[in-house]
Formats: sequence, structure tokens, C-alpha cells
Amino acid sequence: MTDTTIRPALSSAVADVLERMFFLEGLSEAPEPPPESETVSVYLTFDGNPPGCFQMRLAREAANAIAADFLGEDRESLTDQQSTDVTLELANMICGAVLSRIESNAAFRLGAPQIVADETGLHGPMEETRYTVETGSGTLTAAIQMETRTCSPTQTYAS
Amino acid sequence: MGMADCKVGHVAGQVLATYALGSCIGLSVYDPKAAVGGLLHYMLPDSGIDPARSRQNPYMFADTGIPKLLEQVCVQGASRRRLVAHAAGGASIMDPKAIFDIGKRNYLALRKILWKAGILLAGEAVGGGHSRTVRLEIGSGRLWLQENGGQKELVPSFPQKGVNTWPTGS
Amino acid sequence: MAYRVLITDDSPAMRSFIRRVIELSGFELSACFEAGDGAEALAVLENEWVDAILTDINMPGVDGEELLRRLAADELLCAIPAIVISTDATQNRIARLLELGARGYVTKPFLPETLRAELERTLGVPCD
Repeated sequence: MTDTTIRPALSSAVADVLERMFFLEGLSEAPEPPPESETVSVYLTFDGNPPGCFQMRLAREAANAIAADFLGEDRESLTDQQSTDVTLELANMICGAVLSRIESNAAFRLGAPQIVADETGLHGPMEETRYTVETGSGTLTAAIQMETRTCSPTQTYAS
Repeated sequence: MGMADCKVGHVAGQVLATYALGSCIGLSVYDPKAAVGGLLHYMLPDSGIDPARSRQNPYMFADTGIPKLLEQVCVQGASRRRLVAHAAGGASIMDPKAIFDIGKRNYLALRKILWKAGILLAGEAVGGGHSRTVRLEIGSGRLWLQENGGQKELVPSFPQKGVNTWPTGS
Repeated sequence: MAYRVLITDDSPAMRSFIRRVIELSGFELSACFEAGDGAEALAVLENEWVDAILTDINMPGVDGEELLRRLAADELLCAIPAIVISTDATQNRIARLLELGARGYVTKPFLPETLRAELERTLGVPCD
């Protein structure tokens, strides 16, 4: 699995999910910001052929705007829990969309997505593929790492 | 009816029409029970870029125009729940290589605002590179679409998809 | 006519979204049950009848595939139409789920109108 296969799948998956269910379009690639407190980070692992892990980092303002639009709520009445729930599902969908593009003949299973402390970089010996877009209210980064069983988060889990 | 405009009708036989929908969106809504309908032709997705302009003419933007359209048809007796909505336009007319695809942005703004307003589209004819014309007849609720030199009747009573050449189209 | 549905997905946000699409599609709901996984779904179905089940596949605990298997094996529950809503768009999975009795399949991400079409195909067009 090379970067040249994964990268187009990653960028196309991000665009498709954000356009189809979150009304965000024409997103231009952007530089990835450093770890910071105003960023929500989601992590999940997946079984498949090959297995691996996935991370999504999203500016908190973007997470709130996206969540409000998704649920059809006003920004003001959106709860933190709702914002978190939407963010987790967004990560789940992007990861699923990438894997469906790459592993078209194999079965894959996504683990439950979890909020983690923000850090750039997945851990493990394999190369990861990262892609960042500007959503209009902040950046979104999707990162995937495949063909490794030693992939695991060393970050502490934020509650 | 031209660009950045909106018309509402409640008299049987009245025909609302809008032409030259390029990257603009023509949104048609019709309540078959109340026999009230409206047509909006907007040009840009977000009034935030020029709030003063949107106060002068709310129909120029999706975020100010669509709520106004809905308000006006409801004032004439339409019920939001019964509205049958169709959209046409959102094409990449001017410059296919433009960084900002206004047509697509207009389309996504439409989807977002309709979702928030609780309205699903019964049909759409969007994308591509050609201009369109839409006519809505009050009383019958019939909707005509003209594109590529041909005209067809879109029957609003069941879901129908028009031409959509975007890769993420449904 | 009012409908009773069961929405099974481990994401509360997605359950909300799906419920909204069902309502905006014109289906009046007299009951809308939610479950976070297949086991919860089956627990609901022990006491309640529904007209349709919408289910995700990837869920912790009893997943969607296992849920479909158990529904198909039950002489009463096998009559309830199930629509799968899942990120997995692979042909193998879709084929397997249809064999297990799923009546419809919607891939995430989806347009509300796509789910509506699937609901109408499965339940008929809602009458006013």
C-alpha cells in the first residue's frame, strides 16, 4: 500500500463526506496546524486487509459549525455533547470512505472512534498519509496508517 | 423574473418563470393543497460578503433569499410541511477552471439551508456547463425545465433527478 | 398512517440525523425507538413491534450483520423490513447483507433524498 494509492483515496473521501453530508465544498488543501488546545482529535483503529489506524484533527470552531449544520440546530443551542457526537461520526465516515475506496474487495471493521489529546502524528513504524483542508471555520486533518499491528495511541484519552 | 429575484403566486393559471440560470440557483416551491408557489433566483451563497447589499436585495444570496421565499409562500397560505421543492442551476458556466466554483457553492448552500429549514428536494437539475430555464404553473403545480435546447415537464408529485454531472451528485 | 421505526447506530448524532430524514420525508412517526447496537435493538423488539428497522453495521457489541442474522432466524421478526446504513460500500458486504435479508442499503455519506427513496421503496410513499 503506497502513498500514491492512499493519498487520492484520502482526499477524495474527505471531499465526498464533507460535501454530501456536511455541505462543505471546494475545500482547498491547507498546511496542517501544530497541536493546540482548540483542536479536537479523534482516533480509531480498523481491522482489514491491511489493518491500521486513523486520526482526524478538527479545529473546535469548525467542529461546532459542522455539528450545528449536520443536526439542523442553531449554533447557540448546540451542546458540547452534540458537537462531540457529530465529530466522532465524521471521523468514522471519513475512515470508512477511505477504506471502501482502497479495500474494495475485502471486509473491514472499524473500531469505535474516541476523542484523544491532540497531537500530530500517529505512532508505529509504518508511513502515514496525512491530508489537511480548510473548511471555512478552521482546518480538518485526516491521517491514515496501514499495514501495521503495532499501531496504538500513546496519547492519554481526554474524556 | 430575473437574477436576484423572487416571485410568489397564488392565482391558478399564473406562471412564474426564471431564465438563464447559469451558476445561479432557481428554487421552486409549491404547496399542492393550498395551490401556492414561489420561485427564487439567487446568485451567491453567503450574504456575509456584503451584508449591506443583502439588506437592499435579500434575493441575491441563498442565506437571505431562501428564508424570505419560504416566509412569503407561507404568508399566502402554504404550509412548509407540504412544500414540494425543486432546484435547477448551479452550473459551471463562466470559467470551468475557476478556483471558486460558484455554481457548486450555490448548490451546497441550498442544501444546507433547506436541510435546516426542514425541506427535502423532490427533484433537481443541477451542475454541468449549461444554462437552464424554469417555469412553475400555479394551480396545477406543473414545473417545466428547459435545458440544452429541449424542454421537459418535471412532475412535482414524485421524486425525480435531473442531470447532475458532479462526481458527488446523488 | 403513522409508522413505528427502530434506528440502530452507535452514533447518537447519526440516529438524530436519520430520524430527521424520516420525518422530513413525510413519514409520521407514532414511535421512534433508538438502539446503540444489535443487542439493544433486539431488546426493544422483544416488547415492541416496528414497521421498519434502520441499522448501521459497524457497532461495538452485536453488530449489524449479526442483528440481521438473528432477525432472519426469528419467525416473527423476519417480516420486518431492514434497511442498512453503513460506511462500508464494498460489494462483498452489500451482497452478503442482502442475502441475510436486508431490504435496502444506503452508503454513508448519503443525501437525505437517497434515504427517503430507500424508505419509499421499502415502506411505500407515505400518504398525507
